[in-house]
Amino acid sequence: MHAESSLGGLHARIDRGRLVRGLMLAVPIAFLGVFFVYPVASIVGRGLTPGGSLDFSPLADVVTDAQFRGVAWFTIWQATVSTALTVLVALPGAYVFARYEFRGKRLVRAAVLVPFVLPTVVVGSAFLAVLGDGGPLGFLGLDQSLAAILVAHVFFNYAVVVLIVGGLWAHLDPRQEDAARVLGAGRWQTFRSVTLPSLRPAIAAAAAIVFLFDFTSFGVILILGGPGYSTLETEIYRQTVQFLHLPQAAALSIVQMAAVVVVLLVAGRAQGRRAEALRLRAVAETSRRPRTLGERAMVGINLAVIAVLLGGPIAVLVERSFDTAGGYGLGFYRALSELRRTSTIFVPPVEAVRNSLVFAAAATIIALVIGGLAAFAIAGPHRSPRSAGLDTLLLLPLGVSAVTIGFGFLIALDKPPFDLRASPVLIPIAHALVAAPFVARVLIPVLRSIDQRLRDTAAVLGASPGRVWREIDLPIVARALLVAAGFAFAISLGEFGATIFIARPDYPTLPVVIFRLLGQPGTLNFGAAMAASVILMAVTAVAIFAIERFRFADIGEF
Amino acid sequence: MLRVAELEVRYGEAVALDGIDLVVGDGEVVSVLGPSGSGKSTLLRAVAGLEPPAHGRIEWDGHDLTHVPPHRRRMGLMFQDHTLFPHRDVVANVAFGLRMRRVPAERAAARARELLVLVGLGGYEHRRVTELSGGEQQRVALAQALAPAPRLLMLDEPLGSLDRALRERLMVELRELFTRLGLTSLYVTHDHDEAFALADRVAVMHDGRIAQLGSPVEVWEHPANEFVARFLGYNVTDALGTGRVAVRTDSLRVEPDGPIAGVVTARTFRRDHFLLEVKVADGPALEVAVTGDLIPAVGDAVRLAVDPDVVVSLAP
Repeated sequence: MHAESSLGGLHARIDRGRLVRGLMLAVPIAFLGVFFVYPVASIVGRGLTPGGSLDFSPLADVVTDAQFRGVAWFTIWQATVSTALTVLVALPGAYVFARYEFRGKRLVRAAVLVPFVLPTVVVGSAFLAVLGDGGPLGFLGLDQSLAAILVAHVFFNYAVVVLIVGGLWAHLDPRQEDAARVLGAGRWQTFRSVTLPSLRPAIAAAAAIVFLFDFTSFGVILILGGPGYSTLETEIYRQTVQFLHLPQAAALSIVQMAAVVVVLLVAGRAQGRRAEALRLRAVAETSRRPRTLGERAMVGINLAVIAVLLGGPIAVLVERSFDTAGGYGLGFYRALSELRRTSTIFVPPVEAVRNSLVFAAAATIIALVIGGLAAFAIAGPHRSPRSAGLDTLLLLPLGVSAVTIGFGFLIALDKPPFDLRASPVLIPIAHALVAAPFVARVLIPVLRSIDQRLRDTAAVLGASPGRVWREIDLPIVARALLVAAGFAFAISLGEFGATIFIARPDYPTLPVVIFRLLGQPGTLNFGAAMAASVILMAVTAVAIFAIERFRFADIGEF
Repeated sequence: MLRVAELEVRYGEAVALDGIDLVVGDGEVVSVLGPSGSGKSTLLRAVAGLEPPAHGRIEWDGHDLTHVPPHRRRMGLMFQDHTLFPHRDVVANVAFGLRMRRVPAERAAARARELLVLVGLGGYEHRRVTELSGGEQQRVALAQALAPAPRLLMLDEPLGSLDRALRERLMVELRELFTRLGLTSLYVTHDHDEAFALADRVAVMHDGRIAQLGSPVEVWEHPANEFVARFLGYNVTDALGTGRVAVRTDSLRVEPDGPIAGVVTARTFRRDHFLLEVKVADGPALEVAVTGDLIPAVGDAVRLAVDPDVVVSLAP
């Protein structure tokens, strides 16, 4: 019993707890400091002090330039229209998934997710396959048109609305709608006065995310828009890579970051007004099989939309990857190992598959460590009051576009103290920077959902603080960790915006190779791009189906 | 024997426990009774080591436990709900505390099975805890708390989330179990029926202090102050002409020539009696339990008499 009354032991324990927490905070803060804050600061420095002293003229030149204004206006305009279209098309889909049971629902739900996690270059390839020369809709002449960009954005973000809005919708108590009907409200009135207000925070959240993705869209615009359409993102890329106008690119990046911050603030305000008093039900109690003809038609029409809009481009992409001059065959796939040394690719494309997998594995590990430590510091058992700042810091890379990150790496990490320019390690680090916020977002709600009294019970039953972490926190978040790993892996596989800046020609990733192949003339290169896109899509899909399995196994357990 | 002396717990500026002195003897069951927010759960958490005290001591058999972390106190704590580990099956939940004390797996499992039989859940070993009913979950939680043979078992509203019939059945079972195992126990509840049925002594808490400590009979028959009296359902009134007194609802009678005049303002049926709310000339309405064939209706003028032996005068 003497040990029990030792005060020194208590102080040692408290200090160790503080030390552990400090280390948990220090690692992600150091990582973000070197690989995010420093590069972004370098961009700002490059943009505002071009000659060594503070000089706003490049920024002023860019802002007053008529061509730039056109680019900025187009960026906002296409993002707004794309977002509105996405919400309109996907809202009925969210309803169907939330309220009805039908055969194959799980499979369709998983399939709906696929476009969202598809690499942007694959989306671009797929729409080129449909709309370009020799595609089934090639006669419409929509290749390199605004319509192609808008439809591709809807294709890409359909799942965001279905997941976020449908997720809430599935938990809304249908008895509230029943009550409104009994009180004399019609179907449409009930939707407008009961359902829609409850859904508003979810719709606002989904629209904000979709807008952000469309606003910072890069690969899709680069591939489908051609030289005729330019957004802030593609303009930063062109100014840097084609014209080597670094001060202009830096000024554009500053404008871009400012705009994204505004969007995030507006979105944050919209979400802040959250309806707290929603009565939420388990999903099983809110959905049922469609009964009337109208309900069956509703389900049928939405499934048809999904099949044509989401399935169509993917099917055509796959078809064209096999459609060689000499009939259907594996010619384009074989070409991936045969095509050699062009001016922009130094290795056979098949090597890019290996590169992508290795980078994705490394990025996943880094993202799990950084995002995981941050999540535990923010939402774990010994959360510190200061960790709220980390929460914000961790979210910032989400708001700064991948292109900006890549550009920042290019200008900041090529000289001491961080001379990593020649090092392939920059690629997984950039990918991890994009993926770590997602990892933390996945883990934080699960960690927060752990009842503190579970940890208390374990402690009273004899578990030391470290043991509590191992016995309670870790097993409960294990599944979420796997989901986060899947996301990180998929994000890394498809990352294009940052990679295009930092990938050296001798170790390209698969998205970079696809983009390069699309830029080369000839059917063989186009076919090889299709084949490489199919491979990238297949690898990504495997990761996502694994996630969906874990996600579904989760429901109803905790 | 647990001894709590001058215990004080603060949440920032707010004082949750304000100078608690309490002794729980070996084999004794002390019930901590009070409304929500009175500090009763905080007292359990402090004794378990989950809340650091701002002042005071917690001792077991004369040894200071005040700064011993919870996992070395060898106590058991059972919450109202949500405390089973959702990622483990029933037997693993029960054996958790034994595993933490490095009891070999086989012996731990055997002991867990014994305890499951003890709480009436033999054969439930490999069920998922999320599949159990509320009453079954509480039994598993009890077995979990009992498994490492804690020197003090603390229960925080263990029956609070259960329906009435189940609560009454489990109350009897718990009483039996406490006696059979000779458990030393602190039992928190806001329900005085539960406290009186289970405890050797009752501590009534109010605003972080112990308002009264005594046997159930003492507390029920002689509430120490106005707060305790009201909390136990007494009328507190000046209308009897003997200063401020506490009087039970069943000590007031409707009599034609009773000394207190009033008007019935509400009438509720309560299984074995009717409860009348009677507005009297001065002071708040009195609650009166009435039995028999002639129950006054709302709006009737009535006169009330009181049995002087059961009037408790309250210190001003």
